[in-house]
Amino acid sequence: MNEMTSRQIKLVIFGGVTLLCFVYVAVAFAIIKNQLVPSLAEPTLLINYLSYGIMIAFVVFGVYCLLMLRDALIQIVQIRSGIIYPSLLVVLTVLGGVAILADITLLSDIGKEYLQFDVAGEWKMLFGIWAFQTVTIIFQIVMSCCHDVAGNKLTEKLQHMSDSLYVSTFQVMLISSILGLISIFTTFFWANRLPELSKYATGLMIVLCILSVLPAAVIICHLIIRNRRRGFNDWFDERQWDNLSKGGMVTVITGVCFLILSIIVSQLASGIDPGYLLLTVLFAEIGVFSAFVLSRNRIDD
Amino acid sequence: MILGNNLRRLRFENGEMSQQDLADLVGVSRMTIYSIEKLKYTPSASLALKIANVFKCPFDKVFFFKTKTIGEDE
Repeated sequence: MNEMTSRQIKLVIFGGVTLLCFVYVAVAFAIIKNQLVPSLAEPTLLINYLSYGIMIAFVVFGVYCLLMLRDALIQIVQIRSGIIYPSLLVVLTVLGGVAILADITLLSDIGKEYLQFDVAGEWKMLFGIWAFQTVTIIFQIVMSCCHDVAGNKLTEKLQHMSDSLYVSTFQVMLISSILGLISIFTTFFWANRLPELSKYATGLMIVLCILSVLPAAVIICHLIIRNRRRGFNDWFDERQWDNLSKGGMVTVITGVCFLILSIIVSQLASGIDPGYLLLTVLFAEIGVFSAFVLSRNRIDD
Repeated sequence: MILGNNLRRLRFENGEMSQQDLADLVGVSRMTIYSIEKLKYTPSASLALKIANVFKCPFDKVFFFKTKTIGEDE
């Protein structure tokens, strides 16, 4: 590995501080979980102080995510095309950052409901999100160690046609579509296994689908910003446009097949919410399109 | 019949030009040059002429028709 630049070292230190903050968050969660019982009418002073610390930790993580998202989007253009790590970094950073909102919502729910209801489920989700965010921080630190983007601007317009940006855009879209499909199937099976919670299933599915689409939305915005000075025809070169049109054709054909399949499924199992089928077809289409375009961009030797 | 080419040889005869250099000169991505060299993609007339202009060669010295052999890429 090359010697790290001072910027990389600063980022790694920031990542280390964020990781320490998250160790604190885990300890604070464990203490609060044990102390916050229905018999406790008012949160203790310790719980209040620990909560302030948690808030600061989330702010630190939010700022770190913004910095890493910037770096990830620059790395996408710099790193040799076909390498998936910067695309993964974009997906993890966007989802990890947005998950702060889920943390806040769950903590707020726990604060309101612990007196009357069992909040064990909320704590489980909170620890699950904590684990995901911790993995994200570790991955971000590793990526900071491996690659430096000093001297490059996020909004710098592209001088030449970029394979890396083109490939990464579809890598992120493919990951988003897979996440979307996983979200839909997970929600569907969860709703079937726990009928008493099925009234929340549609709302949860929509939230998870929006979360899944977020990385793709970020990368498409990035593509637009990078190409803002070019005419639309110049966003891609002729081979890339050729692959996109073939991808479009394959997507339309598979789209018709998926729609026929979804009509058959909805006729056979009348209890299935059409929303599930529609979103499944949508994410499957994004996946087929992205996978096709990526498969046409492979280097064989 | 497919459109064969001498891109690889011409690049090396012209100061060992890289695929990226050629791509930048004709305004396409490096992968497109790679695909043309590997006969995976047939360039448009306009791109083929631009490439021939870079090497200052007649068009038929850069591109030519060849018969597709078994096991060869498209």
